[in-house]
Amino acid sequence: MSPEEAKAEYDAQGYVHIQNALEGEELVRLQAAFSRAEEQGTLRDILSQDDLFVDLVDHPSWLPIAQAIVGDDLQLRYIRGQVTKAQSDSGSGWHCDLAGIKGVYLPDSVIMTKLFVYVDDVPEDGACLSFVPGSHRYEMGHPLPDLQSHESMPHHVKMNVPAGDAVLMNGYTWHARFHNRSDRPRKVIESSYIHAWMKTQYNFNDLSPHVQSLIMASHNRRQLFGVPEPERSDWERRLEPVG
Amino acid sequence: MTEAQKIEYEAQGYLVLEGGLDSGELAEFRTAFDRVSEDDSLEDLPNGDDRFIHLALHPTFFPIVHRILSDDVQIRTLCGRVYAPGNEGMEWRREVAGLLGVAHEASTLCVQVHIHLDETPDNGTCIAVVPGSHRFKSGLQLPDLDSVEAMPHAKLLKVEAGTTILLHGNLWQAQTRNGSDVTQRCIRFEFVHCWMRQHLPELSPESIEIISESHNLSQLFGVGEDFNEVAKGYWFRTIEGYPTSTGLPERRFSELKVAGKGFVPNS
Repeated sequence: MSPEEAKAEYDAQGYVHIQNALEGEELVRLQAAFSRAEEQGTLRDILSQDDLFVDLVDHPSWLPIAQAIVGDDLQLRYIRGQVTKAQSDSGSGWHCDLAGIKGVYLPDSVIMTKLFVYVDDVPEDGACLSFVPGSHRYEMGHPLPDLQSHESMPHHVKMNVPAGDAVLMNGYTWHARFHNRSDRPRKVIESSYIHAWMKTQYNFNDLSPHVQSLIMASHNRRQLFGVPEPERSDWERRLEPVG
Repeated sequence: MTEAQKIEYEAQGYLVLEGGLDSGELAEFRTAFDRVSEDDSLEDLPNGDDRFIHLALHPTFFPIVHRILSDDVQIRTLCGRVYAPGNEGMEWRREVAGLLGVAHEASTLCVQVHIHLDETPDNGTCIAVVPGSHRFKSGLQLPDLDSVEAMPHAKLLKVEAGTTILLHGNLWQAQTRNGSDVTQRCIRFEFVHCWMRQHLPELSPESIEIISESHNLSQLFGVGEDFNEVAKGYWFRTIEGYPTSTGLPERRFSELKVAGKGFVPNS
């Protein structure tokens, strides 16, 4: 899927499913690194756990797509690992991440997009992320229906996906994580991409010297991680062409 | 903000507030401004004199800025500008043009506040605007013009000393050449939202102490443990002591924030 095709899909539906984003040895390494971080209880501080997680931020399977969707002023807000326990009432309910933001006409804007990279297969009853396709175009104030269960949302689609797939989602799309009724935990790497003119959740100085050195290695990483560039306004930062 | 001001701002993309600073305030700000200017520190206005810090909450314009931008209002920049005779001004532009991803014609990311310490003399520099252009879509190209004055439908905003001008960040704006023999001075704020980056000078310990005494100044200048640069929950900052504002244009928000969990009440 080209970035243009992915953007067209995303613009129409409010999300795009990227199949086989990670495969083979790369996926195996991710699964091993994720397990180590999970055992150590460091999934929320995943950048410091393995260089592989820093590499995920500008991975070629999705960075060109995220750039096409959000813009050349792309920046990371956060990246973290997440485990949803097996057999748990862990659903999020239907919601819209950007419900609290003021000042932006959301149906025609892309302020924030989330990336979910699946570490393991997600079965039909395994805490699937679900969307209402096209809901990112709903007029602001469109009422969320008063539902009794996740499943009763009309027209929803579930991300029942294999390990290594990825999903990009507009922060204004109605979505939910269903309860996990399966016998396996759902494991996912969740990232949030925003614009360089917005605040991130990272302060570069708080990162380890090693992670800082990985970030400082390229212009694009410095922008993605919000490293200040004094000679350029953060209203004018742009990614450079890769390759 | 009066209903008439709201209609005017929504329609034209700017407001002119005459008599914003009284003669006493004007004299004080001119003196402070000149002192900072002599130190070549007009980019460092917040540290130059605490009058400039408190000016952010001036009753002439802050309640209006708050109404326009919402409870999550914050300052991006605060600086001084001197327009000496012969100053070439600035060409036509949209201040928010570099902010990608936003339908600016229907959004409000930035409000500029220009506080004029001098009247506009004959042939002096002044702000020029195209009324209503804040609703132009981003793809609409600025015309290729020989001069600021050649812009069709442009309006030159000549002012008395003490006048404050508010501009929507998407408004087509320019600054005419100063063809007079008079120097003109202006204090400029850019107000944005809490979730946007700021571009303030590093604040001195004295400035931080002053700012920290007020919740609202702390939010505006991004000072304090709860307002540091790192954004966590930054979509929910709230100015205190003013009627709640969700910003202009007025929007509706879904009453239900979460639905369908099935075992807890919706909220």
